[in-house]
Amino acid sequence: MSNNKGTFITFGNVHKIFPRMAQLILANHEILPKPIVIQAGPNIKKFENFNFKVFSYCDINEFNEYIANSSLIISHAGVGAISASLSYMKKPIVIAREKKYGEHINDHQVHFVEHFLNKGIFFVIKKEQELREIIQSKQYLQQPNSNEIGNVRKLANSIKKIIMKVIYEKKESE
Amino acid sequence: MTIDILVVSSPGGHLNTARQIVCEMSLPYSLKYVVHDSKTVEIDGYEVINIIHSDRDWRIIIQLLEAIKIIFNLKPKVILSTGAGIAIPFSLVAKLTRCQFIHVETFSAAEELSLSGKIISIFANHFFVRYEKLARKTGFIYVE
Repeated sequence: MSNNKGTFITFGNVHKIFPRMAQLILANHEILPKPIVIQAGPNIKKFENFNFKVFSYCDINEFNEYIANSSLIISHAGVGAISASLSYMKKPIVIAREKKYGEHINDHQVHFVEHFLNKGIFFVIKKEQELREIIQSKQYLQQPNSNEIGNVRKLANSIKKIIMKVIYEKKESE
Repeated sequence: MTIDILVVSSPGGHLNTARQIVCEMSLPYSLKYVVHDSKTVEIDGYEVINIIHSDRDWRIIIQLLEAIKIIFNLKPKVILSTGAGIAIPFSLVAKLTRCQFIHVETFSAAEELSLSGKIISIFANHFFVRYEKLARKTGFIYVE
């Protein structure tokens, strides 16, 4: 992988096809920064006849490496891909899976992106034109307004207290 | 061999959250991850146990058997889960074996609990949600 070049596209770990996103990519692949790497999940067949690096899934370390080494990230609206992008100060372009198209079991991705609209941490697109505009104007090179989403510090501290108490009590009773 | 903490998670965003929480807690206890359908064998130095993936189908029975085997073999004192479906059989076995089960609902559940979260909430001892509004609606724990 080259350093900070190219496009990384991720469909996440959802085992459902996402033809709308695949179509958006295929309609615009000529203007995407190269090389293009796609973690396609069950959509892999859509990309077989192109000069992309395509695979179904990868492990978490490889995934983070692709994010770190790409200048443009296009993703379904999954928290993992978004938070990984932000941790490398990259502002991803996201497309929410919708239940009505059979892309997910419910509309939590739609609710999730609505919650963070206009906060400057990712771009949300629905139409081909929106994707084209962001790429051609190179807006995706803007830094996001935050390097994280859903800080876990205080949450982890609360969980830590519970775990320490449980383990202490169990070790005492042994 | 027994362990102190078992972390159960689907790959992707759920696993990223689990990993962040584990790193942030920095606990001096033994810990293993259980992930489904993943090529990952180690996360931040912790061993990863891979089990079968169930996509709301009959394979959940195999997952349940795997959960029973893992919990009986490792006898964790606490199970921490960040979802999604993989955590359902573990939460059930934890309840039956009186193992403490802590669940952190996915960050993408902004308006309502996830489908797996709704089921896990029946069995979990501690259930955290990521939005104040959702905590008000459900009565579960929210930490700012």
